[in-house]
Amino acid sequence: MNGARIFRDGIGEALHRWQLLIPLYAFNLFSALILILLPAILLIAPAQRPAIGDAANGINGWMILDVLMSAQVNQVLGVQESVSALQQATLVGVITLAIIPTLAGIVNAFLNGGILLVYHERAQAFQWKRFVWGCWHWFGAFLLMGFTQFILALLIFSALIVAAITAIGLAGEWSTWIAIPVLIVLMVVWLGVMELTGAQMIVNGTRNFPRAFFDSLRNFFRHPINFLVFYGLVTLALVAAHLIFNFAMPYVPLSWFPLVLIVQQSFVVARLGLRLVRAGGSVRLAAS
Amino acid sequence: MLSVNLKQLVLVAILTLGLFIPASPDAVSSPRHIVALPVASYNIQVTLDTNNKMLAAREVITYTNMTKTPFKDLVFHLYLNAFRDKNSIFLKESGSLRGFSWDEKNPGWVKINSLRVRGGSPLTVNEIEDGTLARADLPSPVAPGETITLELEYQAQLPKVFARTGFAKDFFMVGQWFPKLGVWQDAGWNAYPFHANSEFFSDFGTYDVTITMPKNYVVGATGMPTKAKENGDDTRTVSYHAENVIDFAWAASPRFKSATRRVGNTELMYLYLSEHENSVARILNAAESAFKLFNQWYGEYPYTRLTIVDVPSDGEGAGGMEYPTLITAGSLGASTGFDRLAEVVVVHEIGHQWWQSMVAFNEAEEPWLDEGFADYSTLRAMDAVYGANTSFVNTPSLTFSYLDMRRSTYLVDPRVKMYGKAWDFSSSAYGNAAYTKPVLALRTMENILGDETMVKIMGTFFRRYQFAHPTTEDFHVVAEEVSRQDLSWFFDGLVYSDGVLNYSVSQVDEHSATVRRQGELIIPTDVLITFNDNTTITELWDGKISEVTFTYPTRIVQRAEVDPKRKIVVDLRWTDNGLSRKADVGSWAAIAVRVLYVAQNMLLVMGGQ
Repeated sequence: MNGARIFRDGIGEALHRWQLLIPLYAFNLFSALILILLPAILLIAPAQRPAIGDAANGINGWMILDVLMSAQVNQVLGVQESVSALQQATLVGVITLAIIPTLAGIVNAFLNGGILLVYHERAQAFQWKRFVWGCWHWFGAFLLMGFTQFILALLIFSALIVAAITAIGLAGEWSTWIAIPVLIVLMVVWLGVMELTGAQMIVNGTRNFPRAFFDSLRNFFRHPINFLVFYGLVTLALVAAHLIFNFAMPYVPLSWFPLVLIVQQSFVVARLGLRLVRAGGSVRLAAS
Repeated sequence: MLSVNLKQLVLVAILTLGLFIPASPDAVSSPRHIVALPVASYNIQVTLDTNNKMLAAREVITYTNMTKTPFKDLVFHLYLNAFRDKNSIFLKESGSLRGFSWDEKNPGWVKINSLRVRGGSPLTVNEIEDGTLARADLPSPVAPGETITLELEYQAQLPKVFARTGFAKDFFMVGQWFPKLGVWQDAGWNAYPFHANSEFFSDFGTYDVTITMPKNYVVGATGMPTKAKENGDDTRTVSYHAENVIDFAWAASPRFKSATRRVGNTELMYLYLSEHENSVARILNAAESAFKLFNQWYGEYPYTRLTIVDVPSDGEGAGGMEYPTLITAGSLGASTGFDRLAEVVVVHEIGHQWWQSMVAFNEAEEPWLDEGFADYSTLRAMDAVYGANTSFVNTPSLTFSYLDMRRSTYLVDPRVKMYGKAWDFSSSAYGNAAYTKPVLALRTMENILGDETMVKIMGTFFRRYQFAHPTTEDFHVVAEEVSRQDLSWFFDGLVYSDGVLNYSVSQVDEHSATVRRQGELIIPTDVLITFNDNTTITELWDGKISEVTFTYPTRIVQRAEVDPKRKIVVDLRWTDNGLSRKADVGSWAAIAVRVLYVAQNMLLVMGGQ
């Protein structure tokens, strides 16, 4: 089975099991709603300021300045304020940035098992109960795998980056053009192998992710072309989705928020759909 | 290629030089506003020793006493001595300029070897203050209307460039290099030691300068080349002639290439270095656009050439400087494709051609005038050419205007007067006093008076004081005369005072709206009241009382906005300029929807999707 065929099958799987989009989208939406709760509450008081009407049409430099310089301006005017707008914005930003990776990792780890199981058992009828069982059964394994992946990636790629910088220093600036593409390919292979590891766990019916990791490595070295073609096509599809979205968005007036909502959420759904294509394809790859 | 160009240029020079500016009949009686030229003319023969970075020169100065008072001594500026040792006022006040530092291994100095009145015996020259000034007694006083001719010989060592002038390897920017007389006015020599914040002040005159240098060097200078010859000893000599200018600067490098563009009667010549080849179109486009606008707004540029000099990365200290008919570009190294940093520098320096080179303010005593007017011109031109919202940074996700950039620096330290001598301010306060606050103040004046009136004020001021030395009060008179308005809010409130201002709407009730002023600065403004039937009333508020309530017993107020068009750009905060009785749920939702997407997108990215 070649990589293009796996990609085509992945699309077929995603369309066939469209129900999986519902939990994927719901988790993404509700996680995001939790994240924006605090900023949305903080925006209620300024909603009485007509400047919010300008902000609805796009953020201008002076608005950023008003927030950034609020503490300074208060000091100049001799106004005592317990928490400045900048402090509020910084606090909310820091909290949000700290929460997002954790939340994204947990949600991903939870949904992965269920999604991959449904694709692995494609011959059977779709059952929500089976999906939820898959989520729960492999939740711990995916969580541990995600954490290990993060630590390993940190160590391996830190070492690779240091090595690349040293090599560039020794060989000259021209070698940047070799070092950076090599690093990018290695990173894509790493991410692909880790994704394949998840699929391998489901296909092998195990929660032993180190063994699944070596299986997926073996799989990669056995079918490197299939692997690269499949992930290459998935990446191209993602790039195409981004291009269409970035082309369309400037034509949407920002103050027409229902239309903005529709366009942006369609893009989110398209990306989640591509994630399903990737999941379906990775199960095929793992089983090949 | 250069020799061919020079022949053509000589022809152009012969045809176009000799600008005739009629002398004002009241020249002697009104010393500050004279339009009688030339006052101080210089004829200099200089040789550049590129190995030792030295200059050897002979100079003949012709100076006419345009005042009612005789003078019996001479005071010269010796600016290069600011870089001689750590004891100069310049280096004590600041060992660096714009992030570039003095290199004690490569100091700069100038030494007068001889001075005499033509036909007379040698005069004794004594350095005064920190050596950036020199004084010599004359054998007899120079009476009003009388002209004196002086002959000097001197040597100069150019410093490693960090503050406008000097060398960087084979690049030479030679500015403020020759002994230059102060300005005789009000019965004294107006000449100050060279301070770190201070720029320059001198009389108009005619310059004939002959520069000898290695023959592979390309030179750009104030004025027009009139003659070029090879000397047969691996050197060449180029002669320049400039009329009605206050200074003479030149740049030389064997690596200069040139690109030109014609705007009306003036040729814009960009002398660039090969590493900045890709900046040629960018620089010339900005220069051409600004040049056309300034011609249109203020008055025709009377000179036949403006030379723009590129600076190397190790000579950035020479960048962003104005001289008559010559400017230096800068910031090309730091500039990206998304910002207009390089354009801003060129446009600002071209602005100085009108506001310093032709309307020659005293930059030491009133620095806000030349920097403020040049930068206000920059703001206007950047907005006109690159768009009001995208005039400084233009990325797909963020735009920042030049006005935003200036407001960002103003808000850091807004309590500063614009008026004051350059050395009255600390380095950071000088930036706000001379550049930032004047830009915002003049933009506020433009917004309040209207663009047409503002252009009329600037144009009238330019025409009235071209080739003269006006002051703040002269501008005050012209601005009120043209606008026919009392502009004390501008001059008393912004120029001579460090007051600040924040207008806001503090409360909106069913039948009333309360507006508030924080700070001492008072600027009359509008208050826009919107009622629940969407009709509006514009109230005029003089701002004198710090809190005012507008009451409408028979109508229901929906919203109030003070300065609704954000005309007052010195207002410290704009978000509080309006207040509604009810929240704008639609706008709130529009923002929430976008923030939601940002959060979703981040979750997708972090989740590897």
